[in-house]
Amino acid sequence: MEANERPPVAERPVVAERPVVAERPVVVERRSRVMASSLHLIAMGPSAEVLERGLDNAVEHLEHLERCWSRFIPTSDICRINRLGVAGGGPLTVDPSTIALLDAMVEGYQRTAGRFDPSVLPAVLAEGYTSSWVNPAVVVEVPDQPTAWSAGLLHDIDLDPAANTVTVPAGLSLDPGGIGKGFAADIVVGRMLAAGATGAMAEIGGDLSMDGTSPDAAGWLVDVERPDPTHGLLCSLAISGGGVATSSTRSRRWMVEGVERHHQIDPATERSSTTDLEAVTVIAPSGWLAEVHSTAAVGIGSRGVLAYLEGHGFSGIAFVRGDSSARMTADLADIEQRPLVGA
Amino acid sequence: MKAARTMTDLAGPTDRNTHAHTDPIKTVTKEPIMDVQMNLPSDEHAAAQRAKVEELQRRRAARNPANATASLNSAAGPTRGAPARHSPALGSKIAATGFGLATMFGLVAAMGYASAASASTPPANTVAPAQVVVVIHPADGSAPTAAVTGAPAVVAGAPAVVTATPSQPIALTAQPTVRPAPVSQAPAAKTNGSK
Repeated sequence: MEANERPPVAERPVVAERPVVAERPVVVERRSRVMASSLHLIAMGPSAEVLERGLDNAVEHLEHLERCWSRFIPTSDICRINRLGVAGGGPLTVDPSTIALLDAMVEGYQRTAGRFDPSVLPAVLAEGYTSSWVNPAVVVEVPDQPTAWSAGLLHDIDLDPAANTVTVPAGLSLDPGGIGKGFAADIVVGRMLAAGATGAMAEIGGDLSMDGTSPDAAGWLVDVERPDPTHGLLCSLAISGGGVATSSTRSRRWMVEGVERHHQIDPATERSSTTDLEAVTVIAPSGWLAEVHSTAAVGIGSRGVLAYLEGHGFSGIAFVRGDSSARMTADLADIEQRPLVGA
Repeated sequence: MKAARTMTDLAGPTDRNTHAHTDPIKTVTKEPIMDVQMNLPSDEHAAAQRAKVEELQRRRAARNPANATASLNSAAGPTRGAPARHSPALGSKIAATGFGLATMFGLVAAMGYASAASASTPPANTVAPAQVVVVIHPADGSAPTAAVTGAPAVVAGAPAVVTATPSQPIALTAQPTVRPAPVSQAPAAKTNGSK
């Protein structure tokens, strides 16, 4: 046998190979559905068993959050808050995660100067989004409220994290919508890391949260789809962490008396937004923050959307209706846009 | 004393002039025209007097048409016309009123100019923003505190300013870095909004 020839398999040092396998990080994935949306979990760590337990825990907790936050489950905290909001009152005891969600809602409203407003549920219902997207038999009804909705009601919520209670003003009704998904993704990523993962990512309905060591050294890999998925991917990004969210006017559309409506409500008009943007993807420090600003950015329209995102220090991609190419913030200038397919 | 005398001197001739000027009319109007006509003799002198009275009546009618007929036909006595000149006190009042009106109009004009100058740039939002009351409940169970802050900015396109402290802090990390994804076998996630 020559010096540079590889030794026969039988002569390999078997003992030396096992530590290499044991030290190699394990990556586990799980795909499911939760909150009437797609669910994708990725966790990385030294032990597959530990990671699987972490994923189990994450899924269970997501189901718990859905029971707390769904506006289609009558016993949820959100439904109880909305019933209380007919005349206003409290304190109402809720899950600690609901207190945190309400706190994020208020902060999101402030950070977007009111462009993100989860208290526009009456407008959502008036536009026709009354039944569950998954089960149309489940219909949401908010009783006629003696106090009409008005912008800024969110500020009058009184939260007591020590007692886990909330007191709501008259006229308030909430639709957690997108912020619920982004916030839930942030929560379960934290839980997966606490359960032993060295890195974790959660995607719920296009809202992503990721933290820790990524499976690829370049970062967490995120494919940005075009608003019409049949047109293929726009680009692939490697992100160091934080959150990604896409708000779209293409999804969750319906017809009312021959007029197409969608779930992106403009708080100023209380109607489906008439924006010329089909979708906006935002990359931010957390999932809920990305969701809040993507919702706000969609309503701004193509003229000011990039200035809005850059003004807040976020990276973002805007899809203009009828435009095959997307517009990106300046920091994404070296991102290559893939050609449109299937058009 | 000199001033008083002067006033008396001024008043005297004025009254005298008035009487001198109005005596003929007073005489005529005190007596009914019919009486005058009845007492008038039929000679030339009487005719001249009647012509003179008629001439005076015409002058008076020309000066104050409204009173002419009344003074000629009324038994209640003569009705004097407007005084020939105003008293000094009335003049002062008129002057003061004029000065006051001029001052008032000047102030109004100045205020209008100032208002127009300040309104050259229309306000971004004519509705006063609502105050934001943030109630903070400490975790140790102590009494909650309320802080009044400004409402969120409403200027279109402007970066938002966080004006309130959240009751439960939400940890945020720095803005993530983004780069083109390499060709990789690592799992990737997708984003497309509310799938």
